[in-house]
Amino acid sequence: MVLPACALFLLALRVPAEPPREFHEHDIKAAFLFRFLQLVEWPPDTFATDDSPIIVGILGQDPFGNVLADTVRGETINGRSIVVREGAKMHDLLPCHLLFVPSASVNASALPLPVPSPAGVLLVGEGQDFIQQGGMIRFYLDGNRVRFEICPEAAEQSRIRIRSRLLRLARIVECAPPVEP
Amino acid sequence: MFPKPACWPCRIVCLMLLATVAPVAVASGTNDSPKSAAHLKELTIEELMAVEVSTVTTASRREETTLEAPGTVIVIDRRQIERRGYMTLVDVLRDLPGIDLSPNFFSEIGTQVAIRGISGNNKVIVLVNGMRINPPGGEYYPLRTDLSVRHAEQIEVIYGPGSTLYGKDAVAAVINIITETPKQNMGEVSAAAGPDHTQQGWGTVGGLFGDDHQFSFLGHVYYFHSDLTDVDHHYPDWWAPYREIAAPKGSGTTPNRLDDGLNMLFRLEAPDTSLQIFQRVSRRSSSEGFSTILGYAPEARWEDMSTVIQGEHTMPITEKTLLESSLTYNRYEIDPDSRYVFPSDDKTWFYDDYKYGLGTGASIEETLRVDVSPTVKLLAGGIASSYTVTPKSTVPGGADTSRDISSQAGSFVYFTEKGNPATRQEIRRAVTLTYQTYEGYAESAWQFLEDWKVIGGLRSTYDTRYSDTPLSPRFSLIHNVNRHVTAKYTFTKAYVEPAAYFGNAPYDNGAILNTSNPDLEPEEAQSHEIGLNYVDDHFHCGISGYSTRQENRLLVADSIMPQTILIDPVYMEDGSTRILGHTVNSGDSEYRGVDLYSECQFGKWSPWFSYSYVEAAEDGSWNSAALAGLSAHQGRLGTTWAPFERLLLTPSFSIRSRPEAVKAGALDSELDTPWQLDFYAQYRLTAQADLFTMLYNVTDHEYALAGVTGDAVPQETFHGMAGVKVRF
Repeated sequence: MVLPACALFLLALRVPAEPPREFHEHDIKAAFLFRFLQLVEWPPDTFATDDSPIIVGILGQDPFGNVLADTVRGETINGRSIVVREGAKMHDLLPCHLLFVPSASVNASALPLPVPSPAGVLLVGEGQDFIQQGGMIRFYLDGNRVRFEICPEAAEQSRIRIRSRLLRLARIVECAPPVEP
Repeated sequence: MFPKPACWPCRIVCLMLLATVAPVAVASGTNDSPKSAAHLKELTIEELMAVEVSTVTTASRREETTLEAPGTVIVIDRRQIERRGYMTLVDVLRDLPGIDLSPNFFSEIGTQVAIRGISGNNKVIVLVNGMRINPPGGEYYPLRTDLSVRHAEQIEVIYGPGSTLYGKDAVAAVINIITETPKQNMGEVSAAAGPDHTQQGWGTVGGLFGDDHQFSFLGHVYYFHSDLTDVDHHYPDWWAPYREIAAPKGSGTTPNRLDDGLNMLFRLEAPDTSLQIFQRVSRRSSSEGFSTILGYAPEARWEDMSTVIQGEHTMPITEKTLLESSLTYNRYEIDPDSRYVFPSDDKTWFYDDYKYGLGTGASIEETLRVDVSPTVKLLAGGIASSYTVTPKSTVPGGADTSRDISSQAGSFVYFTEKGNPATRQEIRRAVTLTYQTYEGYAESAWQFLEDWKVIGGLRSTYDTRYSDTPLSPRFSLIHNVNRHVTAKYTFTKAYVEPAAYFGNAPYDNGAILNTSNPDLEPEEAQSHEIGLNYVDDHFHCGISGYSTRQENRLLVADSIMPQTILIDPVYMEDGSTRILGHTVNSGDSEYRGVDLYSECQFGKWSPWFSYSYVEAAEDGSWNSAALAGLSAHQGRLGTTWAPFERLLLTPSFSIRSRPEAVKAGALDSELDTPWQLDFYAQYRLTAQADLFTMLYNVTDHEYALAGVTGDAVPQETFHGMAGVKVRF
């Protein structure tokens, strides 16, 4: 009994130190989201004060575990801290500045997304029809690399400016057709 | 004193778990490497575009993570191949759980692989970039030093039956060697040498071309030669009978052994099309695995070669539907100079037992991939194949490959009654078969809840040689308990074809006269597996429990079981007697066991460990004889240690319990201690050049495992090589 007890004790003490050999899809997407926050500009009136935080909302089940929170912890963008929130429905998360819609949420009652989308909310998702449903940036896999497509018009309608550095790396796609009144 | 088998499970698990995590605790105090998954944010967005997601493609024939894939999937990636010094597929398999290797098992196959108790290199599918390289005639896969992994990006091992997606013979495992993606003007060459005249050389070149670098090519060549261990010197008691047999025959009494391997791969890729050519050639002494029955003379050689060519094309039909087409040609040939040498009488060797075989197969496959909805994916396809196979045949005097083999080979003649010419019978030594197979399959994966996925599939095969139409279903339920933990249940059925090799390979080995059996039916296997996996950035572990049942087994005549005996005795023309036998379908067997494995990366240490237990039954009777030649317990432990930036050290240790039901002979004590310590070291001399040494069995430990006749055969003692690797 002594040996297994020692082994389990040492196991409990383990502290990660070496870079991982491989990255999971959502580890990479978390890092992308952090970079997106740096490469978009929101209309000034979406923040109550000069130091109001940037709020990232995750709709439905969080696919990131702790990685997204770890990624943004302690970081600031233009003096603003970053806060991650989770919520089962879109109205639970609004107002926020970036709303992430995981693919597992494709059947959530929040979809299709409202068009035009709420002002000042960058809609990022990964479902196959996310852009057609009103999204602005959609992650997809090209082989085993994470890529993203952007619908610039949808972002403009929401008064969000996407910097050219981000647009250059994206696949530019057409947006959802306008909703008939 | 070596521990008794009863003590094995707890001791191995405890010691290895302790050893696995001990460096972790040590490393925790030297946290000098800043990066982890959360530190990906330190990369620029341009750099993030180049980061790769870890995926596998073999388990479901689509990209998915190991946690999403059905069954047990173990991936060995390029980093591990580099750091552990893996040269060939045998090196990789030696470190994997549940895999029982018997090197020097049989000249015709080299190393026998048994996975989770199921023995036989004809029950493992080996792929290169998804292209099947097993011999088309159903021969045992020749697992020797002619299957390089030095050009591999990753190697995926899918445990358990896989016939639903891979068809015949995918009973024990499917192994896919995925080669690296070419970069602009890449190249690597290496040369090494060691004792026993060991020489190894390999090189890889690759590049991109075209206006937008849309075309790429990869070329790889690998060569190996060794004279192997001097068994006369290391195992004198075992070798002593050979001296007595060989001395009067005048060809010397020392062993003439060798291991030659050559492997080449060329791959050309365009955006929607690829072409690859794989070739391997191998030569060994034909006396390996037969104890000291056969002659280790220079003439005793077994040489075979394979060439496989595949072209693939992918065509989008709609935005959510993709059609993949492939055309594959596969050729396996036994060199006509291959022959066994055995005693003709007390004073001479018999040198005229030449062998020859040739199998070719051509197949066309169409696969449709449909994303039915965001949560439902469908894979469906069909394959039509045509084969022409002359299984391994005896051709006195050696085959002239430009002429008809069957007429050259002639016939074996025997009499069912001694001295009665009216009972004369003939067996044609060489038979050529032509047959076709038509297969259809479909498999769908449905993520019906956010963290639940179900997979269901079915394959049906029609073979023009037999009436049975094997159905190979698969069902899998996968539950992602959380981001790190996945639980899986998988049920699968698979089958082994009654290969031309089993049904139509007449031979006379002095004891058995083997004749054809055209009435063979497929052997079937079904498996239940439950697995639990944990994965995070630095730690990966899993436990799998399984139960596999084989029915309608193919029993070869070599086994001399009552079912395989047709007439005993029959009489040859010279008056000698034989047992007239053939391969039959008979009986069933069961295997159940558990595999436990883990791997981690902490600080400067990257340890791994595994423990496997298996037990077996034949025709309902659970006993050790049902595990003949295999070990019930196996353990492995290794670590890569980087004491400073330029140096990598990788010791690895494998140990197993005494193989069951092996005739020990003079190797009784050697059978009791089947363990081996290997060591790999690499020093980065410059940015372009590495010095390395790969040492096998560094303690020069003498031990034995099973050979093809059921007798113990000695294993290689200390051997290895040192060399240099240059990148350009």
